[in-house]
Amino acid sequence: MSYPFLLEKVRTLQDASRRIADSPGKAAVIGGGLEILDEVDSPTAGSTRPDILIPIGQIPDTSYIHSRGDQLRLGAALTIAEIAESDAVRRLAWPLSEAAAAVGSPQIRAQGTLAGNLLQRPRCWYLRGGFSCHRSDGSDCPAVTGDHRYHAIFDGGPCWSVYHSDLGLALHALNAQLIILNPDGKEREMPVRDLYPDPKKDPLKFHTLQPGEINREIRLAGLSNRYTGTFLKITERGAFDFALASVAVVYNNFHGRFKNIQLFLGGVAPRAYTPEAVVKTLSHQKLDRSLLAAAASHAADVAAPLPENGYKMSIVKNLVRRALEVTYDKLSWKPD
Amino acid sequence: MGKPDKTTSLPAWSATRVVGRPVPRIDARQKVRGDAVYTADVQLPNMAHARFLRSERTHAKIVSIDTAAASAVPGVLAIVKPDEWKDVLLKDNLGRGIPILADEPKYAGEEIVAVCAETEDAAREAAAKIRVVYDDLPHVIDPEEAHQAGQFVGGGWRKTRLGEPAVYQRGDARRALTSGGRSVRIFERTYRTAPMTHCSIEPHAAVASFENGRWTVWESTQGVFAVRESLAEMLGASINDIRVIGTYPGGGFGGKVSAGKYTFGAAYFSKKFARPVRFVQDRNEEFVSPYGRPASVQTLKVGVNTAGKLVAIEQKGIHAIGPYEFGAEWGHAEDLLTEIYECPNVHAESIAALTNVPPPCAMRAPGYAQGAFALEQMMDEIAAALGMDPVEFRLKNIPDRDPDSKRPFASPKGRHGLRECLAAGAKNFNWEKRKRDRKTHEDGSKTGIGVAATIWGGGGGPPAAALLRVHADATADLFTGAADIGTGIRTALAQIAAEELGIAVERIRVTNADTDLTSYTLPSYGSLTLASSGPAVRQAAHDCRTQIISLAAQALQTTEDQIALVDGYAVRAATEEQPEWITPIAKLISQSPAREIVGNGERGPNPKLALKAYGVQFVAVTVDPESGEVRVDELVAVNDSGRVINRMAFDSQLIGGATMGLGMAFLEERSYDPASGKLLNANLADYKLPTIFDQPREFKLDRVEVPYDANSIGAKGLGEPPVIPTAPAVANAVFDAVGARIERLPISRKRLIDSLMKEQAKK
Repeated sequence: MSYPFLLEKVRTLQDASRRIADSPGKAAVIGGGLEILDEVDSPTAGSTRPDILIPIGQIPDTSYIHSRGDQLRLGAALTIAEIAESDAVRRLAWPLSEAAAAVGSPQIRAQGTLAGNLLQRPRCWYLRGGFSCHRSDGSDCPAVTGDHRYHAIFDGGPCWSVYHSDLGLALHALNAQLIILNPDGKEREMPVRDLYPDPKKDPLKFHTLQPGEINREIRLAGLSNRYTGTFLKITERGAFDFALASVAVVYNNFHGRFKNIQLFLGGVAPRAYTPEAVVKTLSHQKLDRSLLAAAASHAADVAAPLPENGYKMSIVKNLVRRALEVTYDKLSWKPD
Repeated sequence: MGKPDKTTSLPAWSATRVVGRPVPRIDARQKVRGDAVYTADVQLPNMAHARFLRSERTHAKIVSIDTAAASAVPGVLAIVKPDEWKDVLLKDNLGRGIPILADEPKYAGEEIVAVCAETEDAAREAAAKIRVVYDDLPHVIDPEEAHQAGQFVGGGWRKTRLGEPAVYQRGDARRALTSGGRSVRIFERTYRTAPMTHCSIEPHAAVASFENGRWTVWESTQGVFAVRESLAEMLGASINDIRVIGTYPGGGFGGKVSAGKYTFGAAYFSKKFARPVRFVQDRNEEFVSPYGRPASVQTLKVGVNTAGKLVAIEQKGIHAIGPYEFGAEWGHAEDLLTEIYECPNVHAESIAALTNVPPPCAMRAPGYAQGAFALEQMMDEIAAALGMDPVEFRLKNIPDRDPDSKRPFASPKGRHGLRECLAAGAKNFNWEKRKRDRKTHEDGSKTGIGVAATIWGGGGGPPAAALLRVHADATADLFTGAADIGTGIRTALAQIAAEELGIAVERIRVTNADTDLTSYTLPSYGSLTLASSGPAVRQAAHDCRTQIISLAAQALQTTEDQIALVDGYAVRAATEEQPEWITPIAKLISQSPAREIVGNGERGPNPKLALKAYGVQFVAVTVDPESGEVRVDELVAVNDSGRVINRMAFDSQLIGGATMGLGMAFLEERSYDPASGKLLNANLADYKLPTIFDQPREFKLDRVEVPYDANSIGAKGLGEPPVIPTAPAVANAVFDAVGARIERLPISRKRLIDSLMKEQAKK
């Protein structure tokens, strides 16, 4: 039901990498196909749609979950369902497990892949609807004067799209590393946080991978029992929906104090966003449940919404409070 | 053929064996296994494929259309520009036409070029390679803006001139509202409902084959006969040049009542190339074609006296009906308020605003669903202001006869479906106790309860006909024109035939919605199918029954009143003189001269009574005022649709209707970009239909079967009523929980939070 394209099978990831590097803009990897086929059907304005799609699902050793000690290694072609159902992920990185379970619907989780979820184009119905915009050709963002009910309230402008990868947000909080294969067969490591360029500096790019580079593996250190964490999202409907706002949080109990607070919001800024005031309010404080609501009330302190999306400030404060309370109650030791 | 006007002369069933039982659908297995062939599934040898190119601009003059690159795409058979079809018009119910292809597109997505090719991919590729140069013209999306500019006609079933609203009037509402003094309290509020799309699981689709000078058209439709008439007119063909088959439409909801532009396209190309042509819209096109529920802006002004009786209602409704007058009949929402409650003075203005959006059509409870959101919230608001219980306030205003036509109701004296629904609903919901039972949870969320009521016609009527052939092995073939758009009408009609014949439902095969094999019947719309075709089928079956009993009486040399038909047998009960006598119906028919019993049935006219169906819904919600989340904890629905033929299908209609109502309440909205006029959410990710997680935690479904003898099966329609009260019941419950009146649909997280902020600012 789509424009014709060539499906080209390769034997190894490196063959795929080389093929893509050799035909810039024309070839792309296809995993579950949910995002790339959307892009082929309704391309971003001004972009060229790929004519050659290279399926990687059949390539051996691309879908695995290895845990050794507290180290977790995830093949990038894993389906979201495989992550959601994995005991190892649930044990060592439960916020990722929760995020995977919150993605779309069972059908989408069965089809979508880890790497594909990370590399979705930003969520914006102007960008995805083929409108000319700051991310497609550098022109003014049409959402500013248009319908921006779902757009950014933090860090907005000149692009107001939102980051919405559920898995990605959890991986931010878990401080995950990407293992990236390049066409020469070499690998490099990069924090997931660096996968997304700052649209203020580099508006036309949606990720920082070089042509031909393939995200092969995600690595992260599992959480010990001193840690707590969660992923939550608020959506318009009960399932099969993107977040109006989402939160991933991880912190530990360090001698009775809040420590290493990793707090990220999705759906509210062009990239995963940390409400620093909340982190600052809690960091190094003695564990105390009564601090949480007060801290969460600062979650939208520096928000700069557009005229029609100020409601997200209320959602963000509520969501951060919920996330902090849920995680606090899960701490293996707490004073109260 | 047929024996007209006998349907109401049959006596009501006293005891029933099959009617009223929960019977699984006769086609459930085919549908679940994928054996049922829907139009979009039809594959014919040598079939070609067609599609439209749609306007990228909201309003523009087309300067040029360059098809050179498109024509070069391998497999392209034809590219048709507006000129070639300029004399062909698609017409609405009042005969207003729009072109198949527009040379001045007036909404984004309007059809401008048609392409036919060997494959679907080639058609798509060719369409993408057509270069169109546009000269942009100004556009208006907001119906209020169009209204202010005088760009409107009357909405509803009477045509008016440009700038003239359609007016409904009884009594003198203005005088009642201005001269009532202190004894009349006046309430006024403006409500807005969103433009919606049907989102049938099967898109609009036609497959046409032209052979031996005649078309066979498979169409996903609610009415094969309406498609045939409309298509014949567009093609300039005779009615008997066309056969339309529509056995399994994948949903309709009012959006597939007649032929579409694609139907003409398929038929046109199939003749031109003498080969079958498939014309199926894709999901994106479903949102930008001329279908959907129009946006409404309704201002209500209601006067009520100190005794709690409605004195006057003034309503002004502005509805976005697209750029043509085509479809303006759907630009109104006053019916509900003219007929549900006793009110001597009513003045309603329906304004069909000319806007650059796709023209609307019927969508499940057209007008009523929008109207209920306003009126049923207003009833709640007034009850609270008067210090009355909202159930009691409604009961106080139930009319003795139809307030509009002044006709008596088709129900026994002293009984009224709405009164009984309200009573049963309040009991099933435990309303009195729960009124005192609201709470705020530890996390700040609050509970609330709400109620809303509805009325609907649903009396059905002619034309509808049926033919029944009972064979020598006591199996039967039932032929009916009615389309089964998912309601289970095929099963209900088989039950009715089985009831009369005394044979099992499984022994009856139903052939339906085929213009060559079945007789003329209205489309399945307006919740009229059961009440129209049901009596026709009963008549046909009764005709057969009479003949079988006559055979049995002859065989036994007894009188006909001694014979009963039970479980495939003719039975004469034992008496003091004679033992019981029993013989298979199959044996009677196989030994009869004709070896087949044939019965005809035709729906007769209705009596001159008010034919109304009723329903109520009670809901309990939990609202989180910070996140804007609303959870529906329980939904109690009670409907009066007269006699329930299939209890399982009855429950399914209530669940389906309320779920669609929840979509309207919380989620569904076509969102237009104000600057470009383009639709931003023409897909099922951004246009949000409810999922199973959006359904209530608990449904409690019930019926009151107020006796109804306006037709021989005692049944009224049920398709539309369950969608109507959901959104206002939810809005009333949200108000009960958090004290903010919801003036605009859908009740998204944003709207709820914004409404609460507005309430706070007022304080």
